[in-house]
Amino acid sequence: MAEINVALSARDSSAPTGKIKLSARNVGVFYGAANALRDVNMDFEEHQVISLIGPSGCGKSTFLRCINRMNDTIPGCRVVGSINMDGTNIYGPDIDPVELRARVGMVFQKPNPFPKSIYDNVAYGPRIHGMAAGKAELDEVVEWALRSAGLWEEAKDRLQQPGTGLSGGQQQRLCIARAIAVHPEVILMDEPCSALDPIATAKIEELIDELRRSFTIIIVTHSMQQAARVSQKTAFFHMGNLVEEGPTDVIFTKPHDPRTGAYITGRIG
Amino acid sequence: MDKNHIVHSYDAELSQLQNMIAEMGGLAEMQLARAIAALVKYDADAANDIVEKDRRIDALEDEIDELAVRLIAKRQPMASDLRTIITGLKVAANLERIGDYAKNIAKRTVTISSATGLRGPISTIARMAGLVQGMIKNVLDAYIAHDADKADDVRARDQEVDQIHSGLFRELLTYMMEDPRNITPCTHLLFIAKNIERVGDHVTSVAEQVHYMVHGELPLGERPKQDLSSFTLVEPK
Repeated sequence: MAEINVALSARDSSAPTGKIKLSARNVGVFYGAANALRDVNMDFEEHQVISLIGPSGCGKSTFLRCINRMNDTIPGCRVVGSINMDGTNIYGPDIDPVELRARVGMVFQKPNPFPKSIYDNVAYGPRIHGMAAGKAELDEVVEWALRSAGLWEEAKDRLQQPGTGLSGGQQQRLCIARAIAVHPEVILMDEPCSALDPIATAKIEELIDELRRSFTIIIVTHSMQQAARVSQKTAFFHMGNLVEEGPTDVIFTKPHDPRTGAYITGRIG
Repeated sequence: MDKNHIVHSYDAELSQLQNMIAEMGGLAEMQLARAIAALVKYDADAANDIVEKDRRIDALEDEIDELAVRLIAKRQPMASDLRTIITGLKVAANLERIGDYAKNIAKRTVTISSATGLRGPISTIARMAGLVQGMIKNVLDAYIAHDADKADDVRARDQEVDQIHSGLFRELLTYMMEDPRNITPCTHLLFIAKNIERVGDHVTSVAEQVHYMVHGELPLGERPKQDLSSFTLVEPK
């Protein structure tokens, strides 16, 4: 009984706090005249993993890219509505997108390490943001980030070798280490496992579950099974609309909207 | 859900599962009907054949289990598909039990086939079994058609079966008090009646599963129960 209590309290310590980290209101995205995303309203709780699912072109990645203002870099792209992080609109006039992207990190579909050493890949962010006072402090940050990304044991003896020499799964964990090295609050992942084999995928999924203790994670995935495995909340997008969002347990057993049911059971593509 | 899967073989496997459940249910329904017919006619040969035929129902349950496990492994079903498959597993288990009860009725029929003078309670048993057969048929139709309303109707009807069972219990006790030679056949008839009452309970459970399959949740509220046999006392005169 004592063991059970210990196990339960350990689980509680990483349980979501219920605090809303991000809050999207009436978010829409236009590429020129084309309306790629319409009127999205959604809240993201701290220390949760939230999956965004839906068929290609449904707007899920477009929405993800709104959260760190990556869409700003696309010519002709216009974002409407607001996204509040801890109560402040990230589209407000005082917000520096570069600083925002340190608070909201991103991991992409294909591992994209810089053509630099493993060490420099991770140290890059802390260096440009001036987050480490000297070499010793920087070493500490690099080790912490690599440890957090589950890559330290594999990389500690080859820190000066190029990051591109790692395997695909290791490269993706290096990219996660690079993202968390600047101590972000939110991590966005855009199909982070689609180029990885099942073992490397399982390692990333285990890592996502670990990272949830420290960060809020929003993941776009084409694998429904992955969404079901890693997230506490799932949102289904279709043709530029947020169709349905809810606890992952409910979405995959008893979805409310027929379109969600049709998609997750493999009836619409 | 009326639309087909993008992968057609998935649809084919799901309908195979449904067809197997339908076949199993049809067999269970028929076994019960034949067991009662054999009882009414005291037909020991027919009763022995029923015992033999139960194997087919057992084999079908194994096949359904295998297919369901294969579907889960291969397709990783979600939402309504997942519920359909899980329901298939549970319904098959219930139908297998129904087959066992029919078999047990047949075994007892062989034992008491020389009994006479109990026409009254036997015809009441036949009436009760007729009700239960109707419930099996309706619940299978509800399963095939994904019709939760029809399943809910079946669930509500089980109380009629319970009522007949309670009355029959009292009636059989009276026969036993009147003549000790009735005790052996009446005891077997009591078990037969109880078997049919249990079949009704299994049908009710299937009805609840159909509701779950369609709506993703079990029906709300206690189901109506009218079986008072557990509280029945008949004092000697």
